[in-house]
This record gives sequence, structure tokens and C-alpha cells, in this order.
Amino acid sequence: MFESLLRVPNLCWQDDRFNAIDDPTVATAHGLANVNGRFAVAHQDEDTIVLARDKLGLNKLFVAIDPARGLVIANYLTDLLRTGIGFDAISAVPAGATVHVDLTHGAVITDRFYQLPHVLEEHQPHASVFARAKQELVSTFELLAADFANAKIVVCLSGGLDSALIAALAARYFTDVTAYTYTYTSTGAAKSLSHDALAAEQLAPALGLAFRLVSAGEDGVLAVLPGALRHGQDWRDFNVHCAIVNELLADAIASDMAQASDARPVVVLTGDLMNEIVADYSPVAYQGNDYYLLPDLPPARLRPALLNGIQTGDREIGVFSSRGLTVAQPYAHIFETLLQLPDPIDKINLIRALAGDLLPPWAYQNTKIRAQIGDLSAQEGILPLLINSGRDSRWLRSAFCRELGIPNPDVLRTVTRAGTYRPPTEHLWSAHEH
Amino acid sequence: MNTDRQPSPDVISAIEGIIRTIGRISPTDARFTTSVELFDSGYIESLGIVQLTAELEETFGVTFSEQDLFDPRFSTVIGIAYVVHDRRAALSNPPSG
Repeated sequence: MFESLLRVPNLCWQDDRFNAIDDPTVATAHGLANVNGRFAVAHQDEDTIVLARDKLGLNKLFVAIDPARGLVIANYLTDLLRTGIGFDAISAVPAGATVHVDLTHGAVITDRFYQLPHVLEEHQPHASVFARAKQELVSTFELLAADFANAKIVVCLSGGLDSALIAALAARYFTDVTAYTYTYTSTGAAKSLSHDALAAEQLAPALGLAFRLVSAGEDGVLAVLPGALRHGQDWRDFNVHCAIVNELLADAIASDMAQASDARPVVVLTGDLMNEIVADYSPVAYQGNDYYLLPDLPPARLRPALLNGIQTGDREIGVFSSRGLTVAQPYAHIFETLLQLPDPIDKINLIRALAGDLLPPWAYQNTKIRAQIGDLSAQEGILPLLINSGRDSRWLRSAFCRELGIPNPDVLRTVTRAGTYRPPTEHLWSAHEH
Repeated sequence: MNTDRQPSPDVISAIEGIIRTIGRISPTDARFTTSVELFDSGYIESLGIVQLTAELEETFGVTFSEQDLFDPRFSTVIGIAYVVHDRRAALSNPPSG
């Protein structure tokens, strides 16, 4: 028996064939390593269920055995948990893997069609990587433009360079593009834009894009926090804070489309993943403590480790997909090329090489802060709000469990480890008995 | 060819040293032993697991799979030593065919 609760559409290309993965047999014959983008698929071949998931694990593919229903799969943990499946019975297909589940014999075989390197050792000169990455990025937008010619295009414009480049490319390849930017608003304070929102407000019209500011303060942030945990499928503070921003943006996009009676499909373009690819995150200090800590690793190990962790959270695709919005993360299409860049990586040089003349020179002079923080001093924003109200990392972990109905937070440690979920093995059949 | 059935004391000692460093475990911590559960006890937090696997891979020239990370043995110093031992043995004796 087999039941699919998958509800996040795939968004990928095999060569130039859009969502070729929807016919898994054909896609597999052409080689899943040639599929770029995100997907989670399953098909039944007699008594064997074949599951496959994209190289970075962008689309989630959770698996469990239910005594009454057999093998059950889902993109969202909540879809499994609400049917009575215990969290400790859940596994996830690893990123870049196919899993064959033999229902008759209770056997599980995992094959990798892609494996992130554990350490980056094979480098190419900057110039050749830049040239290939630029070509791949252009190709990605050409494919998007061909397959979503009639869609409403939205760019999540944070004010930083990563999303600025995506916005510039969107302006070049699409005609109806709106930049959405979030800013935190303090209760009772004179309305002023955050440092990043100011930069976005300046850039959008320079690129010829409509600009839509989405503001929310304490009440708005706390209102979407449960959804951020549920749809973002993560409890780690950085990812929850990102998911909150995306929940606010997703609500605004969906509301705007409804108010305009605009029934076109929406494609949300984001600059996500670049920070993982080049590992240019840094911890944020607030009230004497450091937040958003990273593993203490050299860049050659940190870059793949951060990318590997992507498969555990769902701060973008899970959030936007919950509103029926299609998310495209163009940097996911060039990550393999960019991983060939030797360290140190100068972000400005990288974006300049990828953008050519698409961005105005002054766009490179902005100091990027994160949308969750919003200003240079980090005195107000989502991070300070949550910390000051006691919603720290430990609280978020408990809240995640409460929201999903996981009775014992300690079980998180047994099901997730080092940025991955437990992979499916023969334990699937014994887990539900515990 | 590696035919030993258990990890050497040197391997166990090296792993203990790595874990003590990552977990900032005091030399005088009497609770800490090579058989103490590292994750439930809080000796190694989630970020530390990423660092731990990276350091083990670097030190012993092995690569861990997801299955290795969820191997029930991968939760104590001595258990991790056995997993490392298995990985090194697999490198010495790759499957034929």
C-alpha cells in the first residue's frame, strides 16, 4: 500500500524540458544528475515504490510506514503528523538520492545520483567559474521566461546584492515584475524604513520594477510565527526568523493578487542560497550574545556543510508553497559551478561578474544587513523582538514541537542530526511500533 | 589490510580529544566518559555535530554517510570509534565487483 500526500509542485528542468521529472521513468533514463531545480517524486513499480529528491533537498520528501495505510510520503511534516504518525517514525529521502522501497520484502535501497562534496578541493580559476555561472544563470532565466511567460513575477528584494541581481535579471526577462520588501515597524515609533528597505526602495525603480513595501511590527510578526514554524519546518533561530519574513511577504503577495482579482499564477524569485554557497554569513551580536552561530569550520568545509543543511529546513519553498505561490531560487541552478570557486570569495566581484551592467554602480556600495534585523545596530527587528520576549532558541524548539504536536522535544535529536533527517532504512517498519 | 575487530586505544583517545575540544568539556568533568551519551547529555549540540563529523573525517580520512550519523553507536566516544573503525576498514577492504 502506498499513499502520497505530496502537494508542493516540482520546479525543475532536465536540459530544457520543464518538469521532465513528472515522468520519473523517462527522467531517470536521461539521468537524474541532469535535473536542475527542485523536485520530490514517487512512482510505483509493482510492489516497489521509487522515491527521488533534488540535489539540494529543496523540496522535502518525508517518509513513514503507517500500519493501516502502508508507505506514506509528504512534503510537509504536518501532513504526516496530523494523521497520527509519530515524529519518531518519520524519515526523509536524502538530497540527491533515489530510494527504492520494496513493500513485499521490507527492503530499502538508497542510491545517490548526486552527493555534495564534504570538502571543496577541486577549484577552477575565478574568471572561468564566473563565465560559466553567468551563462547558467542566463539560461535559467531563459527557461523561466519561456515556461512562465504569462505569470505574475515577484522578487523578494532584501536590499542586498544577492536579491538585487535576481531583481535585475527579472527586469530583463519579464515585463510585469514587482519587488516586495519587508521592513520592521516599531509600535508607536515614527514610520521609518530599515537600512535594507531603504536600499531596496531605491533599487527597484532604478531597475524599472514596481515596489511594494510590506511592514509589520510586533503583532504582525507574532501572528505569523506559528505558520513560520509549521510551513518553514524548522526550529533553528535563523531559519525561523527567515520564515517569518517570508510568511509576511507571502501573505502580502497573496492578498494583493486577491484584491486585484488577478488569477494569474505567481512566480516568486528569491536570492536565497547564495549565502550558503559562498558562506558569507556571520553571527549577529545582540545584548552581549551571539546569534546565528555557524560551525567553526574552514570555508572549504563550511560551504558544503551549510548547503547540506538546506535539506532540513523549508524557510522559502515550504512557506510560499503553502499559499499556492511558486518559488524559484535561481542560485540553486548554479551552485555546482560556484562551489568550484576557491576561497576567499569576494561577493562584490562575484555579483559584478554575474550582473555585468545590469546593476547600477551604487548598488554595490550598500552594506547588507539581514531582513530579520533590518538596521546596522540590530536594535529593533525580528531578532530583538523575539529575544526580548523570551522566544530564544530553546523556546523556538519547544514551540516547533507544540505547533506540530510532537510530545517530546528530545526526539528531534534522534530524527535529525548534522543538518539531515534520518534516511529511510529497514527501521521504517519497526519505528511505528515504538 | 585492516583486520582488527576493534578500534585502537589511539583512535579512541584521538576521538575523545576532538569531542572534549568541540564540547569544551573540562578535564575534571567526572560525568564525562568514553561511554557517556554525547547528544542527549548536551555535551555536543547540533552545531557541534557538524563540526565533529568534519573533524573526524579530516583526522581519519574517512567520509560519513547519513546512515553513519544515525548509527546507534554514533552517540558515544567508544561507539564513534567503532564507526570510524568500520569506515577505515571499508577503505582498506573495498567491496569487490
